[in-house]
Amino acid sequence: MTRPGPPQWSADEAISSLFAAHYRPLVRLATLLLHDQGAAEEIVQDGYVALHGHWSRLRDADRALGYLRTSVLNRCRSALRHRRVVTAYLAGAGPVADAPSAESGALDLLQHDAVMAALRTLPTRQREALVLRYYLDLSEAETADLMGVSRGAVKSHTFRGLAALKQRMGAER
Amino acid sequence: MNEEMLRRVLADEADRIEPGPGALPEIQRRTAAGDRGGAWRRWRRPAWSPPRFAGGRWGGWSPLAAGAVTVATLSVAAVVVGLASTVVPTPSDRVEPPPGAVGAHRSASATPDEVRPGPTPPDGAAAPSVGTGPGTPAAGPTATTAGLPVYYLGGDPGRPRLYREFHRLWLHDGSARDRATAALRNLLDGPVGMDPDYRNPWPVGTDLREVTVADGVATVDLAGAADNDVDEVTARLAVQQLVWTVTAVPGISGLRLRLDGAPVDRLWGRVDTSGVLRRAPATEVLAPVWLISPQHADTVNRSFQVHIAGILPEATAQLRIQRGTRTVREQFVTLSIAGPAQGEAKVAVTLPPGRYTLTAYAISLADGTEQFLDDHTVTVR
Repeated sequence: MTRPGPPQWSADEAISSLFAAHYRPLVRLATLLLHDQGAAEEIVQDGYVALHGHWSRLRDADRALGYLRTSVLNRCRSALRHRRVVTAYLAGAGPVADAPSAESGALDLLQHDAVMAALRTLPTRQREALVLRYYLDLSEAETADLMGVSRGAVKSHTFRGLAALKQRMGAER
Repeated sequence: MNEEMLRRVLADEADRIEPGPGALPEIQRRTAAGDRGGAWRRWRRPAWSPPRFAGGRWGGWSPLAAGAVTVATLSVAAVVVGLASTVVPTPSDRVEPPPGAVGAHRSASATPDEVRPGPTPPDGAAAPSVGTGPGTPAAGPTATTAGLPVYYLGGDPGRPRLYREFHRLWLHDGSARDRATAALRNLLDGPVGMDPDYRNPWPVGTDLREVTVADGVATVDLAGAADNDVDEVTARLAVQQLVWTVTAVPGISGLRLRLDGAPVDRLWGRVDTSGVLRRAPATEVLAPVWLISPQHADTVNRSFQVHIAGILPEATAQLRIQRGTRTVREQFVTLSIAGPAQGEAKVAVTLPPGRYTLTAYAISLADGTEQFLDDHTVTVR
């Protein structure tokens, strides 16, 4: 996807280029993890600001993406510490954002929303594993690396997360 | 429901997410201003932002997850751990009322040891914090939570000081070791506290290998923390951050540091970490002004108490409350005692519902400038 940036990139040039390449996908990643786009954008911006400070040590566009993803993941975890248990959450939550795009295809809206709602009830690590594996399409090894856990843990988080989703979707019917 | 369907749902959901404009100039403004990504933010609610659920900034789903702040049953035994060897730390690290959680059944003046009914963690809830590898026991149905003090660096990056937050964390057996482990995992779990102004300077990826407690001293073994490019002041404060967090646990008064199982005499080439580490004097390491509660991102009732602490020569702090850019309240707050001790005060406040920024600070006796600002954004419901 990305080529190593020329070594003569200054930190400012690196930020501009990496912003163009990765900002939207990172915001999407953070929003899937957090379900709060405003917070997600702030988190991603923080990551770029921090990257700017680290650029002299990274100097490599591929490593920079890893840095940004790690930073987003860590900051999302940090943000999730603030989440309160809202027992009536599922009952009380309104519909999410706006209507889906016309490309939603065969999957109907209710089902889509049910999957997203179920995803939001999962423990953080399970949701991370599912989003990294099935949205970013990372391998188990890459996911383990990014999450800072073993491959076995990724396997088990993924398995349990999927099982919980299936169970909740089953309960919907 | 299968993998393919999940892939499609995630892709569709992601396609709906369109970042707002103006982010690059904002990032460039911050990097030009020398911001290190510790993220001081003002509250923005841009028009394109999707509706949020009740619960303020991080309101949303049920966080049966890492270090989640929850309202849960506090087992009294787990809260009041009275041990003979308990240090009485100053300032008090006693369990405070938990952060005002959504739907928390408490008035703003809840007593510290108030016991509240609440959901018990369901099976399979992740244990507090951190990448739970295999072998980490999940919080079982008997697990309890407690509000544990966790310290962070904040303030002027060139002259950082410690700030404290209470984080509600799952416990297993409530032992000193259990509490120290939960607090440290939570501390190392992210680059910032609940308040993004509060920083954790330990290297990203620092992991807690083990905590053991013997004779009032906790031995803390870390992995992935051998190298860190920070200045001497930050290094010293990073060590004190660990020490203050761990010694906030009743029954622990000192800390021995290990890296990858081995003692470390000099951390990062900057700071002496041999032997048993103790709390440095509060006047040297704590921020001169703390806004203790409400905590950042809390949701509070219309009438609530603002709890301020400070180490100030005249025992006089300032409190400012803003809604957007408009100041709705500005007042002196006289603390219980002047520096070098840490004085405290509580101010009763009643506000109409909305989002406010509360700032506690001091006015310099030398030149009248505002200093030591500690601001939290809260939602009044």
